[in-house]
Amino acid sequence: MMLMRSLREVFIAKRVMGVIKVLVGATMILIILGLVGCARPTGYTKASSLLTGTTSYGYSDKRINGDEFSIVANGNPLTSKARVAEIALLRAARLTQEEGRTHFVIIKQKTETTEKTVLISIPLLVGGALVPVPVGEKTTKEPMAILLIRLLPLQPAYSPDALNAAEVIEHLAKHLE
Amino acid sequence: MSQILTDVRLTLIIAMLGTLSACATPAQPGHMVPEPALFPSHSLDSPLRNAIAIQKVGGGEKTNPLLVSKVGSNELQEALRLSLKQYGFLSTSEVAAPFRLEVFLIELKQPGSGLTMIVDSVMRYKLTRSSDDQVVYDDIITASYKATMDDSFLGPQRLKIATERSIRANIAAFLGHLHSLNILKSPIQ
Repeated sequence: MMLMRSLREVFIAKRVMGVIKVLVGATMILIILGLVGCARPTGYTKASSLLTGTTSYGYSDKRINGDEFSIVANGNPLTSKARVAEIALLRAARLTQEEGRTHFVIIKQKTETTEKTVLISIPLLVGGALVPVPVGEKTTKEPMAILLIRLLPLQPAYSPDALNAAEVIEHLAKHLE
Repeated sequence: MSQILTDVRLTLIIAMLGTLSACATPAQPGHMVPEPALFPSHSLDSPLRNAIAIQKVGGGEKTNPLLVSKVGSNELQEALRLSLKQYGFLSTSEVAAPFRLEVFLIELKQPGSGLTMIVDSVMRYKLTRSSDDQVVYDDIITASYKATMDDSFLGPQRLKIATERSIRANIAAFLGHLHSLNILKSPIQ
């Protein structure tokens, strides 16, 4: 009876270990896929922070008040400052159309280079499973573009600074999307 | 078998307690106020002395306890109020203040994980003269803070410290600009 019980416990323990190995393996594959996915400049995509609450690559926007909006585009280390500036500008144009307008003006614009630290890990075989073990950190530089815009009324008085949203989209969408 | 189940239950309880103790809390206003005497006190005849009222603060985000520490608009407004007061810029009257300040938190760039955590804050400051509604200052300020294991061993706490100090550095930069701003209290007649 005791022998049967011990064998059953060993069997369960082996199954648990098997599940853990599969989970660790799946995690490693996801990490590798994630790294492969990052190996190109950031495109025109909405930055999403739903899962982690922290910043991801792409654009985001906020209404400041009335017709004023802020737009931020964050790029990965492979992205140039010019590209994040274009992503922000394209978002400004699309936002203008989403709000039912045709023209907008840029109130302020700024591009920055921010720093981010990334953990360096090496996979080690622990108990038959590959486990990422952190061995250090490296600092990378990432571009950020900031735009403040104001949407113009549908029948705007002539403004030399006004940008036509449709023209901006036509000019930028092809190589950013 | 029962021993294994007991161990599993114990592990789950410890994990749950650990998760609860690591719940994210919002940034504290007092922690976002620049150090006293960061700048030399401005002259008594400065037009900005006791002359600024905070009109509007926006762009903040509420903290989800299950995610990471954020900066709410109310906390940011309180931090700004304390900072302006500390440096002698805050008006005693909100209605009759010669200058009105609007602040908007455009972006708070936070890392997902890491030993060293760098948080970047991007804020817009707009200062308007009340007498003629002229904008005397309108700029975007970016600031960052790098929190290390020296600041805290706990990741969520380290991120909170980096967030608060990034905002503090941002406000400090704005106060520095105010000190060097050359403006008149009223337009020249």
